[in-house]
Amino acid sequence: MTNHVARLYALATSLVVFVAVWLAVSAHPWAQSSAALPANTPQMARLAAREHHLRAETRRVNLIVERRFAAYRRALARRNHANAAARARHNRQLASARTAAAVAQRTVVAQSPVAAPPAVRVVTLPPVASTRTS
Amino acid sequence: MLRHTFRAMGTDIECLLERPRDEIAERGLAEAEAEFARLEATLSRFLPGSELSQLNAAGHATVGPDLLELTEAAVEARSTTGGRFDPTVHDALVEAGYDRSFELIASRASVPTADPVLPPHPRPSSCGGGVHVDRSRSRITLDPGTRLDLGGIAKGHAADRVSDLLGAAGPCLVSAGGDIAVRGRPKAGVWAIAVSTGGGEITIGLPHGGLATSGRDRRCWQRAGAEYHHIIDPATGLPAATDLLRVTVVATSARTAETVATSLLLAGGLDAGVREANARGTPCVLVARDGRTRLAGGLR
Repeated sequence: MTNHVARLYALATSLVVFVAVWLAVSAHPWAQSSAALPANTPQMARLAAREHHLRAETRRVNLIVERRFAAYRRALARRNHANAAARARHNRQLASARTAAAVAQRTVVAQSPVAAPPAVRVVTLPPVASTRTS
Repeated sequence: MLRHTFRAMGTDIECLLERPRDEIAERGLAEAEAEFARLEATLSRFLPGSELSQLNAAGHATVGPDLLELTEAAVEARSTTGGRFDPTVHDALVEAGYDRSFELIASRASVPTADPVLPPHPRPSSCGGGVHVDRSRSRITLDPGTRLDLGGIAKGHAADRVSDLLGAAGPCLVSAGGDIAVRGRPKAGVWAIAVSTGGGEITIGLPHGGLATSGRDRRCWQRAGAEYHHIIDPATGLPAATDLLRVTVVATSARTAETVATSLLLAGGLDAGVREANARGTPCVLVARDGRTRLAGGLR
């Protein structure tokens, strides 16, 4: 019996405490204090000054980055141009070396005994094939 | 001796291989036939999809190693023969009526009615246009109005190429319609090859290299009572007028033999051909239209 009554009291008390907390939270007591900050407080002034300083610094950094990127692009173009010139020079040297090698090879072939027509003669063997106008 | 025959490049192909019939021989002969088909698909001017046809149509093309090498060789041969052999006779051949494969020409020539496609007499076509080969970029550029015909030299090239392939299986002979390349020494010591003369036939013993015959006795046709043939004189752009019927030449390769044979055929006649062959030391058989036959260039 005693336990039953105590349980009822405890339940009722918990319900009252819950409703009270609910009301307190839904009232947003902190929002009012934040919104109520005046616009020209020293804190806001400090924040505005810092924002201004950061924007100015961002502009300076962007200018530096753009200057450096432009210099990089110019250097890259110079490097690409130099690479293309070197490649063209290399290809010319390669083609010239190939031509020289081909000429040398032809000369060797022309001067070697194999390049001369084979020594042939009329024979009496039975022919295995015949030639005619192709 | 194994013998394998088939048709390719508009002519009869014959491959001889001195080896017992086994798997290597069978594979070699099959590869030889496939190589002829591949080269024909690349180098024929009658196949619209060939590299040569595409080059002739566009005037410039990036090409494969076969067309590149053969064009270089043809241009070099034009230089070494003083322009008598010339790969730029394409338009002159077409003008003369050789504008499709010879089987079709022969069947058309038998029709007695006038053919509106062909003029009764061909106009001279200009030859000798510029052919620029850029080996480093595998690119060929033709001067405007210049087109290539590699017919004869392509057969010689194919015979050389296929004999290189087949030679790995044993001593061999490859004949592309009479353009012959041999590799390896047969048991008989030399490859015995029959050559027609004015009075019959002689047999030449070829130890290595190649042999080719160029002439006006085949691939010729009648139009409006006149005889046309496929040997164009680049100096006139017309079928060559000569008292020579055919010339058979022995050289280091079938390709070279083909260009030298064409050059001798255009030398100016039987006596001029003999003089030139003796001066160059080119073994050859020259047959005149009246049957006179001379061996020259050290051939006995």
